[in-house]
Amino acid sequence: MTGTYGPFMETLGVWLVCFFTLAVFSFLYRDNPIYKAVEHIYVGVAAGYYFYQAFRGTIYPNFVLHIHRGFQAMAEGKMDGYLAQWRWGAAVLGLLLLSRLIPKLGWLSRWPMALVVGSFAALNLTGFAKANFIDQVAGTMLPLASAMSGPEALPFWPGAKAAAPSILNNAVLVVGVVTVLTYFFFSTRRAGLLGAMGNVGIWFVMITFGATYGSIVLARISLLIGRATTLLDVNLPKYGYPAYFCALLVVGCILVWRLKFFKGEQER
Amino acid sequence: MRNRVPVFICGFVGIFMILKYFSTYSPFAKIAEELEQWGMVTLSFAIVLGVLNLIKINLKAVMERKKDWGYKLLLLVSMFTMMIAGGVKWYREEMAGRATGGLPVAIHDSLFDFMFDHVYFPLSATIFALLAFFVASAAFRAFRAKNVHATLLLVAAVIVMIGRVPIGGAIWKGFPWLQEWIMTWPNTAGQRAIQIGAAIGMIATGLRVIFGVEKPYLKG
Repeated sequence: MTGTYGPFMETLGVWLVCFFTLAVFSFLYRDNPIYKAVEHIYVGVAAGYYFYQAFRGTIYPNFVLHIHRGFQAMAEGKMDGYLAQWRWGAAVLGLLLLSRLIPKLGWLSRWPMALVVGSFAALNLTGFAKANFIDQVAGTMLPLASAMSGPEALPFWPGAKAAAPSILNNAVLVVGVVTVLTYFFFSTRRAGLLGAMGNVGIWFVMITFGATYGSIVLARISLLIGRATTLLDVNLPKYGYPAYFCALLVVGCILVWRLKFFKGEQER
Repeated sequence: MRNRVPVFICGFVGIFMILKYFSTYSPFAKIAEELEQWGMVTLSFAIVLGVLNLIKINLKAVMERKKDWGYKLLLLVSMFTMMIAGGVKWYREEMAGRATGGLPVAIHDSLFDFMFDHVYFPLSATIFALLAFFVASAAFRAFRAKNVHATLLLVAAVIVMIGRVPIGGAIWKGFPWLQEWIMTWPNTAGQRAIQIGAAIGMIATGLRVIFGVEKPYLKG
């Protein structure tokens, strides 16, 4: 944050960071005009950012530059230059996508949508089949009868390693995967052995959801600590204590809105 | 024309790209690569479409002075500022690149970078951080040991949360070990089974879309 923009812009930037951070936190009181304003600014800036990325990151290098290099190759008499001109088809389909803005011609946007859906369905299909199916099944084919890898794999052993593979841990993984898959198998009535396996499966599902939830809570709290640390780090005399003043500004604006302009639920 | 052409395009592109995955024939790979590039360029135009739609809707609301038009004006101003700043950065980088004989040059002191660092990033990070409060309040409702399943959820979450912070290890040395064990073995088992199930669903849905059984692109 420092040193890139010059002293004035650096100070302005610090004030903006403090204001926007505290303005978003003002939502904890209730939906208020300050929060609504920064929410709309966020959407606008994000749209502008992704628009720039779409042009700079994809349309310019993958279409404009590609065609330009094709023309250069054509001038040199190379066959590749003619083949590069196929890329015009992508631009035509892209422009057809914009026909959605004209209701009468909206049906033309189905062609590019079909291309995108078809290509990404195929890409995901092969990608998921490899990474999320074959690799996961292969990763579950673990030895269940080999010798213990060492005493450090035993739970609560002095110097025990929680992530070390062992017969017990491998068995937990294999049983967990099989029983959870059984729990999600809805094509037959769950009774007898299948019912018992499904019951064990739901225990694993609950542990998984609990662990995931715990991780999510910690990740969000970590982000919250990060924002608080940023406020503390930049709240320096050389910037004029921006966090204090921005907090006063946000609280003052909310007070004015609450006392002067706020209409109660019933009145609204 | 309206229905058959899209179904043909989707089927042709999909089948071609699946065949490419299983084939070593180089023309196949080249055509599939070109189709992939077409998909990427077309998808970028979808972002352009989204932005144009955003402009259309918000500009209309501002012109007609509809409810909350001031906020919509803010949205438009910030969006155009970011776009223009991006254009200026792009122009400066292109010019600097030409001056160095075509080598790519990255400029980091532009208005675009300033807005990214001091507007987009803090807003994005704070909105995500705000979720901490809602996740915590949801935990009060979800974490009730009403039955065995709910108790398992509660115990796993509490062990993971306590085991990952320094105070957990200070209370009992076994907490960090236990949370690592839960995350590595039972949690991986559950996640893996869910991943396998999702992959089977993804493969089935992908095939249905490619072979025209489902036609989501015909909607709208």
